[in-house]
Amino acid sequence: MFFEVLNRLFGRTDQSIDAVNAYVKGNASVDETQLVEKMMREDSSLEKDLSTQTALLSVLGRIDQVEAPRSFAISPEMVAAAERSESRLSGFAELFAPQRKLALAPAVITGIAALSVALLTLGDITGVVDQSTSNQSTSISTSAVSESAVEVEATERLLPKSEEPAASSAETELSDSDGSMAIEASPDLAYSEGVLSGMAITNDGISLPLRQLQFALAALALAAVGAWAGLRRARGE
Amino acid sequence: MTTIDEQRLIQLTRDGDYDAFNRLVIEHQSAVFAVVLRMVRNRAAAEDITQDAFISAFRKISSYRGGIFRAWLFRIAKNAALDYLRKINRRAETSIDEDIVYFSETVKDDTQDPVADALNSELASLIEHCLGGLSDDHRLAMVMIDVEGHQYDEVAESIGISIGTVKSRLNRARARMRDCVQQDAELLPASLRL
Repeated sequence: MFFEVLNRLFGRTDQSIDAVNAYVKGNASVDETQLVEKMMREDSSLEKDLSTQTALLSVLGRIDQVEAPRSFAISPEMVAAAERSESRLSGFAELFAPQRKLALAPAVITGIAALSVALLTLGDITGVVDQSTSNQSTSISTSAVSESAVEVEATERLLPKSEEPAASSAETELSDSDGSMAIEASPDLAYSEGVLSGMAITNDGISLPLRQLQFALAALALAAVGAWAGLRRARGE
Repeated sequence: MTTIDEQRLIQLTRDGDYDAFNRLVIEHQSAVFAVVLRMVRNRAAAEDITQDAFISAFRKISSYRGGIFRAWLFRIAKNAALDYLRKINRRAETSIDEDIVYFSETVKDDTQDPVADALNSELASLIEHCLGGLSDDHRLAMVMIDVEGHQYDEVAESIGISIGTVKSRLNRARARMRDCVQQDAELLPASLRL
């Protein structure tokens, strides 16, 4: 079995196949005949099988040779008509025909894209690759701070002058309670700090726009498959 | 036609000489038509495919890079025939189409015996049925070598595979044909029945 696979890989045939083919054709050498006879001794059904094959070939050999029913000579008009009938798309599609070198291009692109997605996913799971979020965290915390600042301003404007802002109330309470001038941070500022601390991310792996890359590569793989199907259709396959 | 003549005609064809190419067509048209006909088993379709194959060969003559020229023609014709078969998606079906070609119509019979005639005809029909049950690759190998008598190297070059693979496919095709025919063993010649 192993040698059979090797032979196929390297385009060589098993000696026994050569011998059997020649035997049924009636042009086996002495060595080939001896090999086949040895095989027949080992396998009792082989003689009958080979006899049937020989009978088949004798009938096939009596089939009349086919002659061309007419001349298939070509003319410039035929060639021009063939060129006109081919659309630009089918001409482009022909570049990717099975017998062409570019035939495997869509499959290669799909394979590379799919492999890249798999590697990125694996890297994400193992922590080798991290989603790039540093820009996002900075922008989120900045916006949170600015939002909180806006809220404080709005609160101060809305409240009547007689009422003190929450921060001041808190401060007043404190000072009232123990006579100290301890100032407590305003809830809004506290919220901003909470946002900042919540967004702090340790970054041990390679930082990449992971989700975006995975999405783009998956889309590329799908596009390559779609292009391959479309080109086959354009070729009329 | 010698190889030198053929190469000269091919070179003239590359320069756009239709007459030179048509001399090549006349030389090879029967062989190409025969293979196509055995593959598609429809005379009208075979004529169209053969004509298209020669037109395509003329247009793509620059892609011929040496080797057996007839094998290169077979390759173009084979691809066209397989495209046709894929489009119509048929292998071993029978049809009332009068253009269908049966092997039984073309089996030579040297005897004058009507009984032998009938047996030959039945056997040929059985072979026809069994050939139709083979895959396209196996049928092509068997038709080109066992029916049309081409050499292994020419068939290998036509199909674009190694000689070893041709022999393997032929071996498997013959074995499958044998198994199929053995189901109706009484149709085989008595001298070869066991």
